[in-house]
Amino acid sequence: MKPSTFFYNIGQGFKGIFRNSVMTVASVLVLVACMILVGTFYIVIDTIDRNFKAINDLNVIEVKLSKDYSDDQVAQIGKALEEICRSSPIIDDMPVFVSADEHGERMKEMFDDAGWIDEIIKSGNPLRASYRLEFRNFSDFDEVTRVRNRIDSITITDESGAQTDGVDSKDIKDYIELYGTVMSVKNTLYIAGIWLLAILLIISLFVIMNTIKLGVFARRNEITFMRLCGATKAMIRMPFMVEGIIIGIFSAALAFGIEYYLFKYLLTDIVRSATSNATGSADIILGEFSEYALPLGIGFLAIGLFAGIVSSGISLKKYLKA
Amino acid sequence: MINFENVSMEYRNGTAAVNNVTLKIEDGEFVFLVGHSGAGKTTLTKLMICEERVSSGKLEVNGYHLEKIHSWSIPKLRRTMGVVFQDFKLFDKMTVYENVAFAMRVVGAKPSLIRKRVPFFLDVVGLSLKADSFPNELSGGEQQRVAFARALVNNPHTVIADEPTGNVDVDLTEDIMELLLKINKLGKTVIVVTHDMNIVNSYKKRVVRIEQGEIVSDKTGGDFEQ
Ligand SMILES: Nc1ncnc2c1ncn2[C@@H]1O[C@H](COP(=O)(O)OP(=O)(O)OP(=O)(O)O)[C@@H](O)[C@H]1O
Ligand SMILES: [Mg+2]
Repeated sequence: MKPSTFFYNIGQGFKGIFRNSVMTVASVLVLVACMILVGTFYIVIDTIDRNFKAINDLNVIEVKLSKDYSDDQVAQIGKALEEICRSSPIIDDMPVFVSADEHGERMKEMFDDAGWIDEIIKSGNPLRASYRLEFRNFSDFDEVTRVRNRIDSITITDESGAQTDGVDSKDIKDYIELYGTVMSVKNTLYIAGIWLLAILLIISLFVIMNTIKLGVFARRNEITFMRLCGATKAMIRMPFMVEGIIIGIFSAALAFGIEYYLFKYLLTDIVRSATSNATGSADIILGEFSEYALPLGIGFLAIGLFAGIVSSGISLKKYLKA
Repeated sequence: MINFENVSMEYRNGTAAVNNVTLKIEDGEFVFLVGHSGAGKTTLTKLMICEERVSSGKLEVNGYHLEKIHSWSIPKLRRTMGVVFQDFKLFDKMTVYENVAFAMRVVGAKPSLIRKRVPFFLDVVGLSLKADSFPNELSGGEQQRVAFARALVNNPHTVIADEPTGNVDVDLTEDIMELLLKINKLGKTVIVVTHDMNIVNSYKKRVVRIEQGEIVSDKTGGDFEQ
């Protein structure tokens, strides 16, 4: 396509925008609503992820070992845990053994080397040794539960050679319940986001399609004439595509601006007021808008271009028979 | 060259508009296509620009075999044809100049070429002074001539005029016929569809008569009954 033809079609596309301004505004509004919704879901889900990552030990299972166990029995449990780690897709590393003394050291660190802790530990360490297993963050919750159940059913041979329960349920320390809650909130948001995106996108497509169809109808004689003159399909389609693309790009820009203000003022305020009521340790970590700018920009543009191109393509189909 | 070989065509509603037509029109010919209303004249022209497809038989137009033409070749075929439609479809929101220029734009002509050619063809049809008028400010005959300029402006190989004298008076009819002869002298094939036997009789040209979709006579000169 020659540059002159290209610019002619761009001009025609802009004319189309103003031919039916009410419908154009309607198209932009639905599309912007669609984009902002998707953008906000994206930011919220990402914020959950961020905070989830920041909570220590949420993805750790700690198996406390009874003080009555012999070294051999402890080793048996270790073997069994290694086997579990090896066969589970969500665990990458082998279990780590943490002795009672090491636990004592940690305890001291936690309380800033308070002398009384030293006293307690020296007079017979009450802390128990343990194995630490770490599963990958954001793993499938069912698999996490499965791992936990397998740990619970580990058996060992006692002195008399009989099989007994190796790990008591109450000796498995974890945050699996919390983990499950966070995961299910995240999944719900995720699924709701996808559905809303789909529904709003379809509505946007319909509205833009109708906008462009009005233009196509107003110009049906021109289109017929163009065809009979020997205009190619691309040439006939171009002005309407341009119209759709302009609507898409403009909506993306508008949505981006609105999303910025939503993030900067609304979301930040909400988080601040939520955390100021809570105890200091429960601060919600919020990303910077600049981190979201690129994915949001690309996402919005993609939605806008998709909606614009697809809907203009569909609107013209009927008029493009050879 | 236009070559119909046993061409039949049926509209989707079952109307058999063209029946077994065999007709050859050489390059540079001037041909009248006559027949009563509903005889199938417009349908023949539609077949030639592939607005309708042949149902059976073979049809070659300016080197394209229309019975098996690919849809992406149809625009190229149409650029070899300049058609003045029976209902000549001028755009009332465009000036005379813009109407003619539009035909060039839609086939991707350069603006410099458009600026050169449009005034030239407005001159050919004698409408230079009306370039900035809108169609509804023109007489029927003037509108007709705009349609001619528009059909000529892309320098087609073949010009088809469907009822070019349909709604104009005798004087204007002569003007338009002179214009068509001039176009023919430029080396273009000209096909004039009409049911006005007076015109046909005053120009001793080849006359093809079609009735009920069939060619019933094909001869040059002579007197024809209405
Ligand atoms: N789009 C269509 N669908 C179905 N039948 C059609 C269509 N167009 C024309 N016909 C029928 O095909 C036959 C030939 O029509 P056509 O328009 O070719 O006649 P014509 O010779 O051009 O007549 P006129 O001199 O009145 O313009 C007629 O019987 C007409 O009713
Ligand atoms: Mg007709």
